[in-house]
Order: sequence, then structure tokens, then C-alpha cells
Amino acid sequence: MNSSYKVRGTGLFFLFCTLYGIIVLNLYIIQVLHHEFYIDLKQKQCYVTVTTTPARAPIVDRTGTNYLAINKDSIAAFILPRNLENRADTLRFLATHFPKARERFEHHQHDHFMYVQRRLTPEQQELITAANNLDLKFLQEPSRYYPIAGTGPLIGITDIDNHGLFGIELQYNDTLAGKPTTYSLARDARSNHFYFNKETKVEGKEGQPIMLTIDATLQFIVQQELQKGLQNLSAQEGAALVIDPASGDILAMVNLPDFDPNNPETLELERAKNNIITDTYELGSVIKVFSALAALEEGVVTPDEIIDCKNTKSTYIDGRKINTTRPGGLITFCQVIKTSNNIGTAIVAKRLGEPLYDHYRRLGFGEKTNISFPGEQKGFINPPENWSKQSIISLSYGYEIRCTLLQLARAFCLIARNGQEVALRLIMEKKTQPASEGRSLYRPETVSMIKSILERTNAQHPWMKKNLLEQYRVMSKTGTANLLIDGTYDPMRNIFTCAGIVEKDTYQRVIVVFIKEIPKKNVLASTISMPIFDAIAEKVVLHDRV
Amino acid sequence: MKKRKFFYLVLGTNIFFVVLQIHKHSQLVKLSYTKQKTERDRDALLKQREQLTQRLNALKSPEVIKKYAQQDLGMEELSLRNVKQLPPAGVA
Repeated sequence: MNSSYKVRGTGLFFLFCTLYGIIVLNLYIIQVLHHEFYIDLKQKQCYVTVTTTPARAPIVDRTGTNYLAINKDSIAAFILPRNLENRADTLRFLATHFPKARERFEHHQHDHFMYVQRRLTPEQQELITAANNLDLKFLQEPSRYYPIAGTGPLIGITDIDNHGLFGIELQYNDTLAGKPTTYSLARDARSNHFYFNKETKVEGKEGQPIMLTIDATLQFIVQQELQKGLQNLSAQEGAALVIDPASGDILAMVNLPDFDPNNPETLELERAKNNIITDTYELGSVIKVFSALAALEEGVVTPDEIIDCKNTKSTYIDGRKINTTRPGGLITFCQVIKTSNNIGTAIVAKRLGEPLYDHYRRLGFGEKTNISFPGEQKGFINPPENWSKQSIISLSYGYEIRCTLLQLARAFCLIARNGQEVALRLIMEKKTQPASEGRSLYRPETVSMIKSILERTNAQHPWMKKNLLEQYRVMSKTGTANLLIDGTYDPMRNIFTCAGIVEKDTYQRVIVVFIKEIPKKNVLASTISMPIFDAIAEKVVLHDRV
Repeated sequence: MKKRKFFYLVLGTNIFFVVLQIHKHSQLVKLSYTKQKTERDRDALLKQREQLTQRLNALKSPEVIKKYAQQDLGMEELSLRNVKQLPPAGVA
């Protein structure tokens, strides 16, 4: 009995020893041999790395209360191709309503995830909901909403992943988007929702709002007036620009035809361009303002000097045929500019010679305004080394010089500021500060002469008797130019510009209106772009309550 | 007897501190959960605010206002003709 007890006791002892040995061996395998593997497993189960992208910051107008771009969630539909519960029905539904997704499915049927469509329309959402198919799921994604119509070419849009595609959205993409933050979350293996500890691995940055100098209400008003004008004229394209020359702030910038930024599927790339900044034109007679400014500044002519304009509509100077709309005989230089006489302008420009090029450069033509907008063009002025005999004549009335409408507006700001330059801006500074005192590029007396030449009076423009802007000082110049098509100027295809200044006491606004190609032939900018200029000017002063 | 008393005292104190530590940890977890729940509520409210802002801005759109003013209220566009200039103060 005793011996049997001993044998059993010894057997049990060795059994337990073996079991403990197995446990110790297992512990050794787990904790020593497979240490790395289990550490990895634990890390995967308990530590999760999460990257959060900050919400894209809004774009606001100069008041700070009107949003030009804000966030709005869009709905996307997706399926999990590997785990389709009702495969046949789902594929039939996709083939009927989302054929592109059905095609994509062929290449993604072994994937975990596949978008059916992103940015669903409300109708598509209803369609999917009505299908009551558990395989079709919805997902909320950030996207943008643009409350003010007509800001498309200026503000731009974002792509499907909410990155800026063009316009301000592209230029300030990094500022608006901010930087994502990466966290490491410590949680128990079963919890999906809560964590014990949160550690920041990569510090991100919130997106910063962008405040534009644009006045949203004014932008809308200008857009409406330009739209009305374009419809009346059946014009192909138009643009308008309103600037406060005191600060250089761009208050309205409209390009038409535009597009609906809230419906990017209908976007035509040509309509997405901000032509005011990204296109250059030979603007014609509106440039005479600056050739006159140069001539007066250089003292090669005085406003009252009599110029012999040959009393003809067409003549030859240096072998070049010059046409003008209205013949003028012996008229003052002031009348030459007022009546936009090409012959008189060319005669004075010939006295000026090469310095005309320097003056154009001084006025900012041929160089970017550095407005912080993607795709800005610098334009072109034919340099003296490339001049033909006729170049000085062409340059005097707006050919062989290509500029953007923004450059034209900047040059008019210089006139409004009595010869002092100003840097145009589209983005408000953080601290509202007056525009820095620009260099004085022209003598105030010369600019004053130009202002008097440009000033409209009832006597000079009989139709202005009915003009409602007579309480204000309106100084403007129009230009009608032929379009260059395949290397030749087409007299039947024109662009019409009217640029000027509206002034009352210390209040000033520079307005530029541009119209491209209308079906009506043999018409001048004074009947095309000037009425739109007046309509816009009227609305601007009403808006500003001056 | 004294030895036993001392032993129980040390054991009791240790158990008390262990319980205290467990309580502290459970409080920490509880508060952490509350914090995370509040954060989720905050995020939901922010989302809601964003949606309301978007709706408000859609209503504030000048196009909508113009349509409402002209069609529902029968208002007309203002022109400079409608502006009456008053003589300066003191002038009859």
C-alpha cells in the first residue's frame, strides 16, 4: 500500500512536472522565441495609428460675413466586392443605373472596397435608398459649396478629393487645407470606439481661412449687369473689373460666360479661365491714354497744340496706311485723344520715339502684377530692337502691345492716384492697413491734364444728357480692336474695351469693361462697352452709397 | 499577537492601496470615455453647424434674395433716378 502510494505520488509528481515543463516551454516559446511576433500582434490590436485631415477652411469676402466657399459633405456610394450578400441583384442594379461602376467591378471584384459613384445627386441617392440593397452603402465625404454665382473662374473649384483645381482654391490650397495630424491610440483589443491613451505622432495644422478683397454683393451686381449687357449684344465673352485705387483692392472681378461651381460635371475648361488675368489682348485705342500721358510727360506736345489730322479717314505715314473712324482737320491734341483720332496720335507718337516703350514698361505693361493668382500672364510689348518703321505708330494706338485687363486697370489706378503707382491685391492683409505709398511715376500736372482729356461732358457726348452719372466725375476711354486670327487682323471680329475712373470727392473707383465679338458689324466700343461701363458704374456708386 | 496584528495591518494597507489604484484607474477610464463621448458630441454638433451654415449661405445668396425680392415682394431694382438729393442743411 505504502509502496503503491509512493509510486503513484512519484508518477503524479512527474506528471505535474511535465505539465509545468510544457507551460514553461510554451512561455519560453511565446515570450522569448516569438517575442517579436506577439509584440507586433499586440501593437496591431491595441495601438492604432489614425490620421485626421482638418476641415478645409472657408474663403470669405472682404466683409468677412459673406462666404465664397464653404464645406459641404457630399454623399458617395460604395460596395464591398468581396462580401456581396446579394451579388446578382447588386450587379443587375449597377448595370442598369451605374453602368460605369458595373464595368469597373470586373477589374475590382477581389478588392475589399469599390466606389459606385462619388458626389451623388439627390436623385441618385433616392434611387439607391429605394433599391433597399444592403450591399450598397453610403459614405459622407467632404466637398465644397460656393454660395455666390459668378465667382467660378475667380475662386475655382476643388477636385473629388477636395484639392484645389484652379483659381484661389489652387493658389492657396496648402493654406486652406492645413496639414493632417497623426495620432497613436492605445485601446483594448475589442474596442473600436474608445481608447485609453492618445499620443500625437505628427502635429498637423488647421486650415487658415482666406479673406479676399472681393465684395460679394458687388461681385453679384457687376455680374448681373455684365450678363444683361452680353445678352443684349449677343456677345461671346465679357469681363468686368472694379478696383478701389486708393488701396489697390479688387472689389469685383467677373468673367462671362462662367460655369456653375456647384455642378462641376457640367464644367467646360474654356469657361474656367479667369481671362482678366490669364489672357492678353491688343486693346486698341484705350492704350492712347498712355501714349498721350507719355507724350505730355516728355513735353513733346501740349494739350492745346494744334495737330494736323489731314481731315481724312485714311492716310499714309511712313508708308503705313492709317485708318481712323472720324476725320479731324486742325484739332488740338486734347481733341485728338477725345475723338480717338489715330492719325493725330501717330503724328505725336513719332515725335516721342523709343521712350514710348519705356513709358509702357513704367506703367506696368509687359510685367506681372504679382496678384497671387495662378496662370497670370505678363503680356508683351514689342521692344525697340524689333521695331519696324511702323511699330511706333502701331504702339501708339494699342497694337504690338498685348496686355491683360488687370494691367490696364492698374495703369488706370495710377492715373486715379495722380501718377502714384499702387500694388493691386486680391487677398486682404491680416491687419487692415492703408496701401503703402507707391512711387510717384508721373508728375501730378501731367496726370491732371490726362484726367481733363478723359473727363466726359454733356457737350462732348450728347447722349450723356440723359446719363445718370452726371453728378460724378467720369473719366473714361474706349477702344475697339480687331482680333488677330491666324496672323491677320480680322476687321469683322472685334474686341471692345471701356476703362475709366468714377470719382466724387475722395471716392474713386476704376472700372474696366471688356466685350469680345458681337454679331453686329462696324460698331464702336462707345456704343458697345461704354453703356455697360455706365450701367456698372451706376450700380457701383449706388452700392457704395456715395 | 503583536506580530500577527502588524502582518494584518501591512496586508490591509496593501490591499487598500491596490483597491485605491484600481478605483483610480477605473475612474480614469470612465472619465476618458466621457471625454471621448463629449468629443464625439462636439464633432456631431460642429457637423450640424456646418450644415446649417451651408443652408444659411444658400439662402443668403444674392441670387435667391433678388428672386425673392422681385417675385414675392414685387420690389424693383434701384437706379440713380430714385435717389433724391437733399439740399445741404440750412439751405431752403
